[in-house]
Amino acid sequence: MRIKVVLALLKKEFLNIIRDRKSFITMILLPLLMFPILIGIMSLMITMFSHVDDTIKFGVNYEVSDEFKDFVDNYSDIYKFEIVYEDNETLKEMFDEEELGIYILKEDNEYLIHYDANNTSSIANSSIVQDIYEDYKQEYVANVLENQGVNYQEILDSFKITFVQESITEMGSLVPSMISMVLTMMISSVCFSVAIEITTSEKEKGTLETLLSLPIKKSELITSKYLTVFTLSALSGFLTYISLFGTLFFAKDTLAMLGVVSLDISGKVLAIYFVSIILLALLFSGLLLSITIFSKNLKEAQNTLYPLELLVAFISMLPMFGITGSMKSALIPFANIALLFNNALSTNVDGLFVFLTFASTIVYSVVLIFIVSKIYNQEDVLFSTNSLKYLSFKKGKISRDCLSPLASLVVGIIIYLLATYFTLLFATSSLYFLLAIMPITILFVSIFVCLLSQINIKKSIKFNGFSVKRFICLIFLFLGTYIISNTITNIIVSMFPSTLEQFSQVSDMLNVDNLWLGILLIAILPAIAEEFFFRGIVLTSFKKKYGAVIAIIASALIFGIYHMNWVQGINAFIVGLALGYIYVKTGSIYPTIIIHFINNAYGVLCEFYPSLAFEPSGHVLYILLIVSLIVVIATLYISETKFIDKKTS
Amino acid sequence: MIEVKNVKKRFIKNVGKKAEEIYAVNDISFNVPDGTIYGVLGQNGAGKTTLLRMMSGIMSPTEGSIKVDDRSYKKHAELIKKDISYLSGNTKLYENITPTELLYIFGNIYEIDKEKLEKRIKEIIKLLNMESFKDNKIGNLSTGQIQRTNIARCFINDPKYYILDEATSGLDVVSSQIIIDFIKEEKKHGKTIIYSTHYMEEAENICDEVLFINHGKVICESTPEKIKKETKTTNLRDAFFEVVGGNYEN
Repeated sequence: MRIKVVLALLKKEFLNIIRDRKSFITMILLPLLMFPILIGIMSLMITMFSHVDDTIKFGVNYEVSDEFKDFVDNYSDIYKFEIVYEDNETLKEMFDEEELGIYILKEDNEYLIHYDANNTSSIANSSIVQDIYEDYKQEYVANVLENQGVNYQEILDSFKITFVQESITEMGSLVPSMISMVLTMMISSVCFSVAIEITTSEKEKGTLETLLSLPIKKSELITSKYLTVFTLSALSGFLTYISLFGTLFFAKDTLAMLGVVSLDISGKVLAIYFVSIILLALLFSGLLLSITIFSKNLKEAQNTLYPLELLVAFISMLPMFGITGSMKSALIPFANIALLFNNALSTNVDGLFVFLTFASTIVYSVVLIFIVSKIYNQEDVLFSTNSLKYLSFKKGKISRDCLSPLASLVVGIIIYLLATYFTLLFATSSLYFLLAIMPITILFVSIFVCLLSQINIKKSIKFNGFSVKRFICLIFLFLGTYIISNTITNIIVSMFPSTLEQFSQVSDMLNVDNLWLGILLIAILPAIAEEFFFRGIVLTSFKKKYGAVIAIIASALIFGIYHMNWVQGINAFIVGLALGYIYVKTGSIYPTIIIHFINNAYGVLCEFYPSLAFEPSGHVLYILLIVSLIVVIATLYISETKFIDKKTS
Repeated sequence: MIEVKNVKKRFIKNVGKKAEEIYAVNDISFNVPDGTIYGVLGQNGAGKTTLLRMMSGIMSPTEGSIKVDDRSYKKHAELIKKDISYLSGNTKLYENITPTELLYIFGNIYEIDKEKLEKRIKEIIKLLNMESFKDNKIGNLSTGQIQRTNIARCFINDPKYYILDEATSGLDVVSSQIIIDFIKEEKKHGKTIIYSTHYMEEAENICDEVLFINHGKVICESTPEKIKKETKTTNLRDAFFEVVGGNYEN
């Protein structure tokens, strides 16, 4: 890589973007003005709603007692009151002509405070008047009770309720979550516009062709593009940063009204924000560069990025849902930084959380840079010459059989991240939704990927030489592995009891009230979705490149990791080996779907009918283990010889 | 000399509802001798652009080889590209940059020394009469001015070869004349120009040799005079139809 060339390219990108008036506004002006305007509007709204007149004037339709007058006089150093005595109709008239903001009608022993809901000062004043009446009522009650010889104060103080704040709250909760949202959105929107400008619009104008005809290495081109997006989005992020902390510093009074108790922005908070902004820019740059290059023109790019923008907005709002973040969420891209922004300002942040967030973001960015470099080496992408429609189910000559192993791994990571997001969001609130959304996500993502990359899915989802005899044989094989996996899991649990705790949390979570709903959500949907992805896509992709054995092991490993805990993970790994073998032997996902279904359905049934559960112990366990090993090996042998021969002949 | 040998370029296209492989360039071989104006002629979609893109190293062939002065793109891409300037009629330029800045940036990419570059830019601006608009943004220039800027950026590295892809299409008489004059002038300096167009008259006037291609294949390679003689026609336009026969799409 030649630095001089990269610098020349950078100069070109910067000049072209910064001279554009529109991008100047979005990149420089908007970030600087964002927070002052935002906080200004909020404070304006609050002062409007809390506007109290110097003299609060209200009308009454009854004779006010001297005690009340004296009582009201006690407040004279804070509020001044002017009381107007009139009959009902005159009061209403005066109210309608806005001479009075509030009037009070006494009906029997009830005082009705009438106020104008459209008038902010009437609202504010009425609440003060209400407070006065409440206080007066309390004093009145105290007097009555004391006259009867009861010590009112003593009864009142019989017990006390006080809130104790556990977390060290520096600010009100709304403000940090809002800040985290605006900051994330700001950086992302600049990144969006710059990435479109330097990739898609270069393609649309045809200048990319000129660039490629110059003696530039691909690495130099990618470096300059990446640095442009990164620098500009980091710059606008930094401007937002200055505007944010400047506003926080100069608008203390306003913030106090917003519920911010005390503002103490330490050097640590400043540092965390600064590093987070840089990392966010790093991550966004890689992500967007790898997406925008696929679009032929600006319109297409905007259409592609629109869902992503919504997703970013949604993720940046996570702190608003009251999610504070665990160690696991520190590994979720974007969400971890949104949470960090929020946590750094509102509560003490854990050093490990910060470290995990930063480290994982760097790892994701590096992976994305790698992906970008791969994509920019593809002519198809650079010239959009591959005009295949994405939604083509038709069997074309060229349609590929499978993804590359790397691509299927990336899809796996995407699914894993989505699953973690959903668990984070819905695990406590809506379990059924979570259970339904997970397999649907897997199906959706994998079908989408197949369509996008023109994979011929028909090949992997058709019936291939499927016979009853063979199926029975495979059932035996599966039963064997089922017992083996169960036994091994039991051994692991007895060796590491902590793993069980993890598992029981999950299994408690999976407690479904209705049997049929359980069968649908835990057995049918996951069986279809997971087989489609783990066997149909992942295994096939590895098989083509590395052969069947490695493919079975790799897919089982990924299947295990997907389950997110040790007990289920190891269980899934062993079951995954059997399912992988069955898939390789039959070349179809239907048998594996059926077996996967039986496996999961059995688990659900055991929940409802505990007598069905099969829990061998002691000698029985070892005997079973040996027997099933023999069964497995025997079935493997039979299926290897007989069926293969039959098939080939 | 540029040698094109058995070059194929495959694309995947949707034909009706089926995906099909299409060879935009299907087994083409020819040599471009130094110091000539070499015309690549054919109707739209014949594969001219793809061929020229491969010759200038923008795309790589699916099969076959392209050698420039006995060097291949696989090993010496940057070295070859320094000797070639590519200009396409569809290419726009960066709108917010001035012609002078553009020339500096391109000069830096070609790794030309600072002093030499400054001298060369001054020369080019004088030569192409760009003094009046050299510091305006390209977005505010007229089509003719943009065309001159485009030629200027092709000049900057003083290349041995020019590859011009339909550089005159869509231009008015004056603007396209700028290009034609430029081609003739450069030939006098001993440069080689590979030039594609679908304007037969234009090609007839300036080309030393022409290559007719149709459906990604070479149908004829010769000098304009020989072709006219062989086909017993008086101009290249008629000769083209004669050579293609009935085998063209309308």
